[in-house]
Amino acid sequence: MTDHRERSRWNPKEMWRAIDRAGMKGVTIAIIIFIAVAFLGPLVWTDSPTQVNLEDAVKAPSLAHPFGTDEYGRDVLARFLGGAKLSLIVGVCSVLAAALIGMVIGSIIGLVGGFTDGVIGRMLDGILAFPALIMGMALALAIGPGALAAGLAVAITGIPWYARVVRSEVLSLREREFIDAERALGASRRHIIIRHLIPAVTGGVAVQASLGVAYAVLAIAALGFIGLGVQPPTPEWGAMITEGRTYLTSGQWWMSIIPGFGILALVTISILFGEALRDHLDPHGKLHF
Amino acid sequence: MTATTLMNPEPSSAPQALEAPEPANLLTVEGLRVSFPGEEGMVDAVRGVDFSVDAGEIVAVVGESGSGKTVSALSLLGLLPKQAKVEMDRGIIAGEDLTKARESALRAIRGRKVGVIFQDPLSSLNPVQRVGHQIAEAVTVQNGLRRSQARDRAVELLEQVGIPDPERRYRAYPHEFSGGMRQRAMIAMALVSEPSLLIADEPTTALDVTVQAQILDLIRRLQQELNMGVLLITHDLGVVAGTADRVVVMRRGEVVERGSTADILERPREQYTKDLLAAVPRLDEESHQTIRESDGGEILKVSDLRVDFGKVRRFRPEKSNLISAVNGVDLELGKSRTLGLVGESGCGKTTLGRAIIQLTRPTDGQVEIGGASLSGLSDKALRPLRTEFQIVFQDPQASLNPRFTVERILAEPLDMHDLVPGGPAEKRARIVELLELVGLGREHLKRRPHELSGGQRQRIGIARALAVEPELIVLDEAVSALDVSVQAEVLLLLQRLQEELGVAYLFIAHDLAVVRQISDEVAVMYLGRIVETGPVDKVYRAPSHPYTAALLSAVPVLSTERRRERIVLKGDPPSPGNIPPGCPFQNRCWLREKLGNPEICTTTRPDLTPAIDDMARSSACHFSGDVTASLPPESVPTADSSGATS
Repeated sequence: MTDHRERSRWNPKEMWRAIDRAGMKGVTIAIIIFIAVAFLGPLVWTDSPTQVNLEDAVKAPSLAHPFGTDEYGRDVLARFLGGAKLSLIVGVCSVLAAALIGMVIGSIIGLVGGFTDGVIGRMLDGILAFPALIMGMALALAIGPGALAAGLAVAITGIPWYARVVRSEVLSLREREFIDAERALGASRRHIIIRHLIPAVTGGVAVQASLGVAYAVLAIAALGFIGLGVQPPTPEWGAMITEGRTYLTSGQWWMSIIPGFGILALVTISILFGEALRDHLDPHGKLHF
Repeated sequence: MTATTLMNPEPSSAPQALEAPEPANLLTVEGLRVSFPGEEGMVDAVRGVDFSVDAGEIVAVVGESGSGKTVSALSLLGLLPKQAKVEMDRGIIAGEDLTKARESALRAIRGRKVGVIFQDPLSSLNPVQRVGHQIAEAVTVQNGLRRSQARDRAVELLEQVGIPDPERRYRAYPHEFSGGMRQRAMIAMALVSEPSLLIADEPTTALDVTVQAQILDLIRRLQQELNMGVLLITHDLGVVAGTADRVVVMRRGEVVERGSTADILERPREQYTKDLLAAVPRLDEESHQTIRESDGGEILKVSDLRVDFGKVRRFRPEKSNLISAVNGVDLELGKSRTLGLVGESGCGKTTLGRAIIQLTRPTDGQVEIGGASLSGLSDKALRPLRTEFQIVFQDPQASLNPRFTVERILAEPLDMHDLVPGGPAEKRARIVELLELVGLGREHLKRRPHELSGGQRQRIGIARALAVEPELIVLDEAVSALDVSVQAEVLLLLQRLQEELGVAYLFIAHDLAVVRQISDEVAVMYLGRIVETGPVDKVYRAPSHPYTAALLSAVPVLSTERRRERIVLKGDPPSPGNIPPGCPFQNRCWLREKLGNPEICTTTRPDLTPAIDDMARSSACHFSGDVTASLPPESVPTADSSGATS
C-alpha cells in the first residue's frame, strides 16, 4: 500500500515527463485547453447565456458579440461556453458511470461464469440492441427530457460495452496462475476482483471510455437536436444547432456552425486521447499501423 | 542402433570425417554480432561468434537462456525482427555469401537449402489447414510439381518421418496430432526441398521424454539417410550427449568452449562448462538426498481420488465427453518428507496436485491433510484451512501478479489470514524475514516481477507459499521452467527449507533426474492412475513396472562412453477419454510384447499391489516380477549400471 501512495503523490513535473514519454503531450494540452475553456471561459466572458435581448437578435459576429447572437439576441459565445461545460460534464459523468458499472458486472460474470454469465450476458445483449438515441427518447418520455435523461440513456446503453470487454479480459486473466495462487492462499472472490482483476482491466477500460466520451457527446447532442435532450433555455450544442438551422440557408451561419464546431472539437479530442492511450498501453498494436 | 554408434564416436576411435572424402562445408560463420535496440542504446545479444557445420555432422549449440544461441541461428536465416542489427565478418550458408545476400536471396536459401524446425510445432503449423495440404503446398512452391505429384510426395514425406498411416493422416488437422506427431510433420515440411542443412531450434523441448527419444532418433536417422548437416540448438546437455558430434557452448553472446561431444562432456576445460555439467541432475549418480526416517504421522492421505472433466449425456451417449483425468488414486505422504510424482504430460499429475489442495474440486474420493478431511467443505470453510497447504506453480512469471511489488505479493497472505499482529513495521519485518529465508533480501521489496530473473521470481513464489507456514507444499513442475544452473540452486533451497521448517513436499515433475534428487519416495503416474510407487532409490534401480523402466530408459544421459540400448516406446499415450479395457499401458508395453502378448493384459486391469518381497513398493502390472529381469542390459541409467557402488 505504501508503494501505491508513493506513486500517486502529486508531482506535476514527473507526471508531465511520463505523459511526454507516452507520446501524449499534444492531446493532453488540447484537453487542458478544452477544460479551461469550458470552466474558466464563463468567468472571463461574463455575458449571460440565457439573457433574451430581442433588439440584438440575429446579429453577425462583432466585437460586442464575437460569435454573434441568436434569434432571441442571446450571446452565442456565452451559450457556446455553457454548452461546452454541459457536454463535458454530462458526457464524462455518464461514461464514467457506465464504465464503473460495466466493470463490476463484467468482472463478476467473467469470474463466476456458468448460469449467471449466461443470464446476465443475454440481458446485456438485450440492452445492446437499443441505440443510445432510442433509449434517450424512451427515458425522456418516462422521466421528462433533460440532462438527467440524456446522461442516463448514454450510461445505460454504454454498460454492456464495458461489461463485455471486462468479461473477456477476466476470462483470460482467471486462467492465469496468479489468480490460482490467490485462491490457494484463501482469497475470497471479492478480494480477487477488487485487488487483482479490476486494476488489471482498468487500462483497457480507460481506452474504451475515452473513445466512449466521443459517442456520448454525439448522442447527447443528437437528443438535443431532436428536442428530447437538455431543454431550453439551458445552452446545449445540439439544441443550438436546431435553433440556428432555419437561418443557415439565409446566411446567418454562426448560430449552427459554432456549436457544430464545438461538438467536432470535443469528439476529436476524446478519440485522439483514446487512441494515444491505446498505443501507449498496447505498443504492439502500433506496429500494425 | 547403428545410428547411435556412428553419432557417438568413441574418444579412441578415429573420427568418421577422416575416412570419408573431405565433407562439404555447409555453414561457416565468423564474427557474428547481433544487437537489439534497448532502453539505453543497442544491447548486444551475440558478440562475435564463430561456428561451422559440415555435411554429415550434427553440431550442437548449447547455452542457458540469454546466451544468444537462438538469436545466432535465426540471424543466419534473416528471421530476426527488423530492429535487430546483424553483422558478420564472414558468413557462408550452403555456398551463398550471407554478407552480400539480400532479403530475397535469404528467403531462397531458407527454402531450398536449409530446413528449419522450431520448438513449438503447434504455432508453426496453420491450424485451419490439413497437415498434408500444408506440406503439399510447400512441395508445390519448392519443386513446382503438379498437385497430384505434390500430394504423393507429401505422403511419402509423412511416411519418411515415421507418421503411421500417412495416407489417412494426410487429411488430419494439426490439432488432431499429438505434440510428437506435430513435430514429425514440421520435420517433414523442413525436408520438402531436400535441404543439405537442417537447423533445429530446441526441437524436443516441448515434448515428453519418451517422445523426445523418438524425435531425436528420427533426426539422427534422417541425417544419416540424407547425409545432411544439422545445427542443433538446445539448452539440454542430455540431448546433446546422445546426438551431437561437436558442441559449441555459449554464454552471454559469446562462445565459451567448443570441441567434440566427448571432450566437452568428459573433459571440459572451462569452469562455466564444468559448472553447467555439474548442475544437471543425473540419474547415473548417487542422489545426495539424505534418507530420513519418517517421524511417524502423515501429513497427506489421499484415497480413491477421482477427477472427471466433461459430462455424461444420458440420452445422447455418443455426445458424452467424460474424461477421467485422475482415476482412483491413493497416496500417502509422511510429515517433512518428499513424494515425487512423475509422469508425461496429460497423465493427470497436475490435476491430481490441484485436486489435493482443492483448486480443482475432486469428483469423488477423500483428501486428508494433517488429519482434517477436506472433502465436501465449502470454499468458505476451506479458507482458514488453507494455511496448512500451499502450491508453487511452474511458471513464476504467470504466478505472480505483474502489477504488484514483491512486498505487496508477500503481504497478501499475511493480511488475508491476519498472520502478523502489530503495525506495518512488524509486517515489513516478517516480509524481509521471508525474503531472507529464500535467499533474497530487503533490496527486492520494491521490485516488480518483471524486474526479477526467473530464479528470483520462483523464490518469491516459494516465499509466498511459506508465508502462511504450511505443513505441505505442492510443487507443480516448480523448477522445470528454470535454467539448469538456477534449477540446481532452487532445488538446494527447497531441500534446505525442508530441513529447517519440516515442510512436506509433493513434488510434481516430468524430469526423472530432478525427482530422484529431491524425493524420498516416488509415484509414477500413467493415464490418471499410479502405476508404481516406492522408495526412490529402489524404484530407480529396479523398476517393477514396464512404464517406469521405459521412462528411465528414455532419459538422455550425459555421457558418450556408455552406449545403452534404449527402450523406445511406440506412439503416444492414448487419450484419457478412450482408455482400453485391461491394462491402460498395453498398447505401448514392451514387456507384453516380450512375453508373447499374454491375454490377461487385455482383459484384466491390474491394481496397484504391494510387492511380495517389499511392502514399501507397489506396482500395477500383472508381471511386475518380470520387469527387471526382462530389461535390455544397461537400458536403465542408474548408479548401479554405471558401475558405481551404492
